[in-house]
Parts: sequence; C-alpha cells; structure tokens
Amino acid sequence: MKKKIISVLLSAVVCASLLAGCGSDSGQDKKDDGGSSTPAADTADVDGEDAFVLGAVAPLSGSSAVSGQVMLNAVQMAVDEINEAGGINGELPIKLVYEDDEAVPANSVTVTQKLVEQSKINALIGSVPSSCTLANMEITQKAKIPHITSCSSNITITQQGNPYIYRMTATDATHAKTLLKYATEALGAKTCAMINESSDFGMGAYNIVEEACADYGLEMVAHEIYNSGDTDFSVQLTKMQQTGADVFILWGYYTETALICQQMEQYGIDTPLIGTGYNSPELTELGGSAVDGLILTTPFDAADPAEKVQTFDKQYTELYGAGYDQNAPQSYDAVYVLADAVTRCMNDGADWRDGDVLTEYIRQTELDGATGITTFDETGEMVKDLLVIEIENGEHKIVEW
Amino acid sequence: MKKSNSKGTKIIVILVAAAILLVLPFLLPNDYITQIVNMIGIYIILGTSINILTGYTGQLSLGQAAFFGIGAYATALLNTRLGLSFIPCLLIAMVITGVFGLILAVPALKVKGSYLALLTMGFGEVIRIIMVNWKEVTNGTAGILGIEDASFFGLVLGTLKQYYYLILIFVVAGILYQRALVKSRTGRALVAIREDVDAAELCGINVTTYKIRAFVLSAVYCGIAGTLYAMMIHYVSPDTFVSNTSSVILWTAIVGGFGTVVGPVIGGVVMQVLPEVLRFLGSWRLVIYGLILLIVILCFPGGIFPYAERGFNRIRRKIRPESASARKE
Amino acid sequence: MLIQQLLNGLTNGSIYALMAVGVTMVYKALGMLNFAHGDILMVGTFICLTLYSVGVPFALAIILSIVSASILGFALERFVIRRVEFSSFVNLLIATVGVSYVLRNLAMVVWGTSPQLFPNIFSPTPWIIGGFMISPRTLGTIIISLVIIFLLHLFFTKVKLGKCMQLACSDPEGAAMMGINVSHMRFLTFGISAALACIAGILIAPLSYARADMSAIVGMKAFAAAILGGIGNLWGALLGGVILGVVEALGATYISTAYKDAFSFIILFVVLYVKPTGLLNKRVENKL
Repeated sequence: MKKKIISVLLSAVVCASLLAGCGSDSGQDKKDDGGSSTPAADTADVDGEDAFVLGAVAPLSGSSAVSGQVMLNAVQMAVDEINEAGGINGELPIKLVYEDDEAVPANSVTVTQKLVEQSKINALIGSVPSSCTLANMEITQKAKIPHITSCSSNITITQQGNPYIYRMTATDATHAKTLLKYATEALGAKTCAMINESSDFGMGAYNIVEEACADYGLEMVAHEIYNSGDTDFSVQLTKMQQTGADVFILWGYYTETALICQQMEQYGIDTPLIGTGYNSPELTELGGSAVDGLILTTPFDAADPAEKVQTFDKQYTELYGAGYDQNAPQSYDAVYVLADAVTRCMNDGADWRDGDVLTEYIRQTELDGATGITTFDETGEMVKDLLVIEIENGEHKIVEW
Repeated sequence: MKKSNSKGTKIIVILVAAAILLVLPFLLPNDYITQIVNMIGIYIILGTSINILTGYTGQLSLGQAAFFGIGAYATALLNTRLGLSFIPCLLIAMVITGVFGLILAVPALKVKGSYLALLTMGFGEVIRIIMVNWKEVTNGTAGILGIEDASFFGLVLGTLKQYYYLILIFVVAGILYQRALVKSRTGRALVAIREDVDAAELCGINVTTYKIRAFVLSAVYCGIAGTLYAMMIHYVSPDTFVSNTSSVILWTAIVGGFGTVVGPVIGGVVMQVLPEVLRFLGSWRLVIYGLILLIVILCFPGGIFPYAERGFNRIRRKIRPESASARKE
Repeated sequence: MLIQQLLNGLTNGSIYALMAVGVTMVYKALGMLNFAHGDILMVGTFICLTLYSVGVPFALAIILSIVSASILGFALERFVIRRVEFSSFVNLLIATVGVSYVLRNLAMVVWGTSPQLFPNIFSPTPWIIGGFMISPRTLGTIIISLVIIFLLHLFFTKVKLGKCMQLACSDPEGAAMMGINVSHMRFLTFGISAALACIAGILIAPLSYARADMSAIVGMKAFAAAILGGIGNLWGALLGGVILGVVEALGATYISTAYKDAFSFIILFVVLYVKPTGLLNKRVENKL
C-alpha cells in the first residue's frame, strides 16, 4: 500500500519535473527544420522583443506530412525574403516558430497552445486539415491572435463568427461556381454525375454543388462516394457511366484522382471529368497519360505568365526542388498579407501587437501577390477569381472560354 | 509501535501527494503545460479503463478509442443539440458507452486472444467509419464544433486550470474505484478469469457475468474520459478516435505496468510527456517514440512499475534491513 | 454488372488471400496475429521500388526485395518475438503493434509520405470478353495467388522440411521429441510469411501505389480474411480472402460505397459469433 502511494508521489514528482523541463525551453523555440536547406540563423537570432513572432502549425509527421511541409516551406521562403529585405516595413524582422500537429486535432490544440503561451506569437498560419484548424482556431480566438489558414477549405471555418480567422484558400463554393459555369457554358452539359471523397472535404463540396446545380440549369443524375485510400473505383464509375451523364464532377485528392482517370481509361469511359482538389504535380506523375484532358480550377497555376507567379515558381523550385500545390503560393501570400497589415499599422501609428487592431488591418487587405489580388469579406473569407486549367500532355494549360 | 509509525508515514505521504496535486496548476508555467497535464489525466482514465479490461481480466482490446469517441460524441451531441450541461451529459455518455460495451461484450465472450484483438480492432474501425459517414448525426469528418464549457451547480469552467481540477477529481475517483474493485471479490474473480478461465469456472465464478461487467465498466471509464475531452477541447472529430489512439491507450497501461493500480498513472505521464519532450527530433520524432516504447516493452515486459517497485524495495532493504525482515514475518 | 463486380471482388480477394496465408502461417507457429505483417509488406514494396528506380532490373528487384523482406521477418522473430514470447500474450501482441508503428513512421521518414507509382507486372489494359472487362493484371494476380497457395500446400504436405515446419507449429513438444529443431522451424516460418507479404505488396502496389500507410487497412483485411476462413488453414485463408473481396465489391455496389470497409468487419463479427472457429476449422485453436 505504502509503496504504491510512494510511487504515485514519485510519478507526480517526475511528471512535474519533466513538465518544468518542457516549459523551461520557452524563448528558444528555434529549431532545425529537418533537412530543409533554409538558413534559419537570420530568423533565429532575432530577439523576441522587437520581432514579429509568426507561428505556424502544420502536419510535419504522419501521413499528411507532405502537405504540411509544402506549407511550411512557402512560409519560410516568404519570411526569409522579408527578413533579407530588412524586415516588415524595413525595420521589423519576423521570427518564425512552428510546430507539428500530426494532423490530429487534439495535438493541433496543444501545439497552438504552446505557440501562444511559450513563443508569444503575434499571428498564426495553419493548419492544413480542416479538422485541425476548426479545433485550434478557438485557442487563437481566446488569445485574440489573428489566424490565417492558407489550406483548410471547410466552409464552417469562417462561419463561426470568429473575428480573428481568415482564410486564404478557395472554398468549395468558389470552386463549384467556376466549375458549373464552365460545364454549362463551355461544355454545354445538361446532366452531371458527381463522385467525391467521403470526407468533409468531399461531402461538403457535394452539398454545395448539388445546391448550385439548379442555378446553372444542370441536373445531377448520379452521386457516388469513395473513402480516402480506396484503390478500386470500378463500382462507382460503372454506375455513373450507366446514367449517361454529360459531365463527371470529381472532388478528390490527386492519389485517388489518378486512379480514377486510369480506371476510366481502362473501362473506356470518355465523359469529360472536371473538378478540384487534385491540383498537384504528382497527379501527372501518378496518372501519366490517363489524366490528359482533365479539368481543374485553382487560384494559382505556374502556367500563368504573370510575373509574380513566375518569380514564385522559380524561387520555390530553386529552394525546395520538389513540386508544390496551390497551398504553397497561398501560404506564401499569407505571410505577405500579415506583413502588409503590420506595415499599415505602423504607418498609422497603431499597435500591431494588439491582436484586435491587427485583425482589423488584415480585414482591409488588398494585396497583389502570387495568387492574384487578395481581399477579404466581413467573415474573413478570401474573395478571388479562379483559373480553369486543362491538363494537356502532362502540362497545365489555362483554358480560355 | 512500528505499525503506527508506518501508518504515520502513509498519512504524511498521502497529504504531501494531495498537496502537490492541488497546487500543481499554479506551479505550471503556462496553459500549454496545463493542457498536457490535463491530457495526462484523460489518458490515465483511459489507461485505467483498459487496465481493468485487459490488465486484470485478460480481455485484450484494441478498440478502446471507439468508446472514448462514443463518449465524446455523445457529450458533443447532447450539449450542442439538446443544450444539456456537464452532469447530464456525463451520466448519459456513461450509460451510452456502457451499452456499447455490452454490445461488444456479446461477440467478445465467444472469442479470446488474437480473435478478440481483431474483433475489438474491427469494432473500433466500424465505429470510426460510422463517425465519418453518418453525416446527419456526426457531421462527418468536419466533426462537431461549439461544445460549451462544462458547467454544474451554477459554476462554469473556463480556464484549463479549472479543467485540471475537474479532471483530477475523476482521475482520483477512477483510481480509487479501481483499487476498491481489485481488492473486492469481483476483482479476485476477474484475476481468476485472466489466469485460467476453466479453473475460474470450476470454482463457481460466473465467467460470463464478470466478463460482461469488465467490458461495461471499461467502456464507462472511456465514456467519462470522452466527456471530459469533449468539454475541454470543445471540438470532436473522427480523426482523434483512430486505431492509433487505441494503441496509445493500450500502451499507457502496458508501459506503466499492466494489472497494477498505478500502472496507468505512470503510463499516462510517459505516453503524453515523451512525444512533447521529443519534439526537437523533427521528423524522426515518432520513429524514436515508437522505438522507446518498443524497448520498454522488450526490456520491462511487465511495465515500468513492477521493476521500479522491485528496485525500490532492494534499496529500502539495504537501508533498513530490519523493516524488510519484519515484513517477511 | 454483377459479374463484373464479382470479378473485381475476386482480384482484391486473391490479394487478401495471399496476405492472409502469411498471417495464418505465423498464427500457427505462435498462436498470435502478427500486427507488423502489413508493414513488412509495405517495406518490401518500397525496397523493390527503390531498387527498380536506381536501375536494377525489375525481376531482380523483385527477388531482392523478397529476400530483404524475409530477412526483416527473421529479424522480427529473433530480436522481438523471441524476447517477449515468454512474458505474456498481450506483450507479444503489443510488441508487434510497436514494430508496426516504428516501421510505418520510419518508412514515412525514409520514403516520404506521398504515394509513389509502382510499375505494373501485367498490363492493366483490359480485354473485353462478351461485354465483361478483365485485365491481364486481374487475371495475373488471381493466378499468382492461386499458384503460390497451391505450392505452399504441396510444401507443407509433401516436402519433408514443410512437414517438419507444420509439426513444429501444431505440436512443438512432439516435434522437439522427434528431433526437429522447433526454434529453427519457427524462424523459417517468419521468413516465408514475410516473403509472402512482400509478394502480395508487389501485386497490390501497381493498383494502390506504394505508400507508407498502405499497411493499415490492407493488413486488417488480411487478418479478417485469415480468421474468417479459419485460421491456420491455407484453404481457409483463400476462402476468407475471396469472400471478403466479393462481399466488399457487392456491398459497395448494392448498399453503400462509404461503408465498404465496414462490411468486411461486420461479416467477421457475424462469423465469429456463429462459428468462432472460422468457416473451415473444426475446433478452436487453444494456443494463446
């Protein structure tokens, strides 16, 4: 009995000391970012007192690590650029601190808590999965810290009446509008069949597309779903083909999209396939010639000859080599949106350290960046026109219509 | 005289422990650490749940995350849809998870060993698939937002420190109940079932009833943890209740010491603190985390606690040989 | 459409069967499911892909990866299983879960988390026969699985070494008395089981890509298939795999695609409840 009590006591002491150890490293959150070639020294040496502390939360381990790394790369790139030019407004350097949330909502809350409490961040960018952003935005709201998500597209994020959250990725509603317009106007479609992932990403989109169909005089004759990680789509595709729909709408990630395209080719289905979610350089690698003719919508594409787009593309590829998706330029722009808001704060003599002030300045953003001109509506939703892209011989081509 | 002396030490130790636990939130530097401590508490409850089921009764479960999730979702739904407050949510969540424990117990009674492991793992997977796909109720992978803070008797909890005390109450109650259970007739019956089902049956133990009780009780513990989790995080989504969480729950009990009252406490601390401490490792973090756990299992097959206890006794015998010999008599 | 779906079900089913055979062999030797089985599959597949991408001929890459997978299987037996074997069943099982966790996260670090294209062994372009589509890949997968299971059957019933392994697994004491080195036989069992996992991985990867998390759901299906058919029984594994594949395909077609993965487990619950020994086994394996 006594031994047990003593060991409870011991474990309490061990626990307390370990936690004290955890806590004592606050203020030295600089970290080696695991293999990325960015010289972090510039940002790390900055004293917390006169720097803008930018937090980033993204999945850096686990199965979503790729998307998280892309986001972080782009953020790091923007931060380095700004710091090399002397900091925000030429005077205020940015100190970037980031944490891995493994794409698990509970961890996302914990690490956001860590960034807020220990690193004393002034603004947060992240996370990638919508569920993580939905979970951790409450922490930034409580702490009154402006929070931009450059990747999470679930519609409810900006519907919570949270004045600190901003979204810099196109929502499903934005994509749906462009896609349906394209289907009816350019393809002359009367009926459509939709296939989407069973996640909130796919199902949220389905509800939006179904509602929007009526506005465009389109009839949805079939709806099929699949689970993330599925490899066999024969059931869904056969069912969709039998309805004789004019166009297939797909809402999914590139891994499944490549398979869907390959299997459509196998089964000899040549219905036009349009949709979104799968814009990634890996798509053509995985899908090969099967993805030719696939249509997608995106706020950013490297095929766009605009100067900012080309500069971003060149720099990102030089620094990180590997491919990226639209989350990269969006995250990159997110840093500039923050920098721009802080600059305007400074020019007006306002206190950017006050989250309430900074968030109001973000709301008035009108910034021309790699993803075009970014403005926000009153809920923090990005307002932007999308590009329609067709894949041709493995290359992206902007569709004019 | 010796006896009263040891009793005195015991009281002092309990008082010191209680004092440390009571002032702990004020010693913690910030909310991040408090959050981790609270998660430790929740995992101690989860670890205790599987300790009862697997550690004492020998019924292996790889699907505890499902009960955790059912408890959390029940609370989330009751709170956001019906506006129920903490206590009714907790009670109903306990009943619901208990019923699910009963449902799982029915097929589980027929199988054991690997079959049971797979059955429970499959159960966890089915529950997760339902959470993802039953959109009308669970809101799919987007999860349920806007769960209110716990409130009871006109008291509304807002800060993590306040949640610490709420969780502490349940952790202490959970451990004390477990301890009482283990020492009771029921506890002895459960251990008998673990050691040898046939012998237990021969001794007149109603194996079926006791196994069902263990399943239900274990599920109810998870339900409590789920309610606390939902109320503290204010958000539930299916990706929290995956098979990986079930493994973490199992490890929590196993690393500390299966079939010991304090095992889950040690396990809860280790399993929650270790990944945070290892953050400096970057992308290698989860690999090293897994390796450490594997090494612990390989080197301390019964968990840390029995080894620590043995080491502790050895030291004590060296210091006070007469007390050790007195114990032997 | 029904027949088309049955065919699709058969393809997936034959891969589940191949994995289930590996699972079932280890079960016989140890009385336990090897939860790292799916991860050995994944690592073997990645080794094959890595060798292929550095220029090793595909056939040689396949052979080398099968060899490396068996080495991994040997290592698992020697350094993990043997250490915890005598402590308790729970420890044994959780140790394989731990190995699975480590291998998966290691693979994510080494090979990244994005799925990678895996070369086709058979052409995926379908032949259309009487309105049904069947690809050489489908046929090839089914045939390879059947041939391997048949060869294993011959090995265990006709070859002396195979018979020794069989006996060492089903009756270790008896085998030891007959002068069979039980520990060697078990070592071998793990190697063969891992090699089978690797072959299954190479067959499934052109369809599902090589990815670090490929083990998670495929591995569970393999267990379900093995138990469904009656664990420890080669033909049971085959039957279980095929039933699972077909149930999934039909469930997805006629009930709901979203709950596709749930069907296999629900079938498993039902079978375990009605006939806990699995479809082809007569008595409960008492080994724990």
